[in-house]
Amino acid sequence: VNSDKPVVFIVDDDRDVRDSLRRLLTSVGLAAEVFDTAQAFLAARRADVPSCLVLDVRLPGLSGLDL
Amino acid sequence: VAVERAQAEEALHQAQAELARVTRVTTLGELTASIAHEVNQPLAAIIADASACLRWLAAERPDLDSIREALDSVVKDAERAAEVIVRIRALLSYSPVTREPCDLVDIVHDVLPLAGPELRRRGIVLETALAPDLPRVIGDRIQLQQVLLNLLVNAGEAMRETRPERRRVVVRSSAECRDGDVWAILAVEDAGAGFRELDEARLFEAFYTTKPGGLGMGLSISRSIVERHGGQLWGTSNPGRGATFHLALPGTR
Repeated sequence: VNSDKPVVFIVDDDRDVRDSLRRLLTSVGLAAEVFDTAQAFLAARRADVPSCLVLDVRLPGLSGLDL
Repeated sequence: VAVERAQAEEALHQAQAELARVTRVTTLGELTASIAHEVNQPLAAIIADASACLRWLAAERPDLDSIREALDSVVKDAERAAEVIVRIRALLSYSPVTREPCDLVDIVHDVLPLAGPELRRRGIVLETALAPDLPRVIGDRIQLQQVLLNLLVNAGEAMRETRPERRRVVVRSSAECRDGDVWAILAVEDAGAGFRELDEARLFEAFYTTKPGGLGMGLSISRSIVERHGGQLWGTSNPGRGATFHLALPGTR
């Protein structure tokens, strides 16, 4: 992820949806990072706060609302 | 008299096939929300990818690698959505009852895309333990799919009150030798309410239901389908919690 671009984080367990969203965001010049579960997002979260989080509500394990 | 009897039997078979189809429609009706989601997801992905392609194409030097990746994904997602529709149409069709060699593992793979999303929606973990060398059985693929679909929907329903971390369905297949013949067996194991408070003998009766809004036809129709295939359908209580339903059909090896 290029650090000078705003980063959008995507958490969705549907791989097709996740990847297509990533491409859409990339096409408009944003950086995107994808995670398949809320736990993976929490584990990978760094000090910098995402500019935007696209979060699926229904996720295996920890739900989007729980997150 | 023989002719009249044959006509009556034919009429009965037609009525049974039509009743089976009506209960398939009812079962699919229960799955509408999750099936709609299952078609909507790839459609949303297609819209996002197509929009990305349009943006990339508008650039002075289009990023062809990205466009290709997105278009590959569009094709895959369209196929994914179409596959769901094909499976639904097959279950809803008026096609005549057939008797052809079927592989029960194929039946599992036919049904999981329809039942899986509903189980996931209910927070249920779905596991499979499928033996690779099951004997083939003779039967109507659609009706056998119907039986398994019904068992999976019931399993999901039975875990309505189960603690979220315990919600789990396991689909197992196995081969069993009975008096020198090989049978193919599918088992659907849940961790739900089980039979404790139910009259076990009534489970397969028509119009007996524990579901709010249920018709009570699912297990009754399923058992008659399985028996017309020369097989057996029965339920057992699990040692821990929940129940397992077993579908056994004679193999043709």
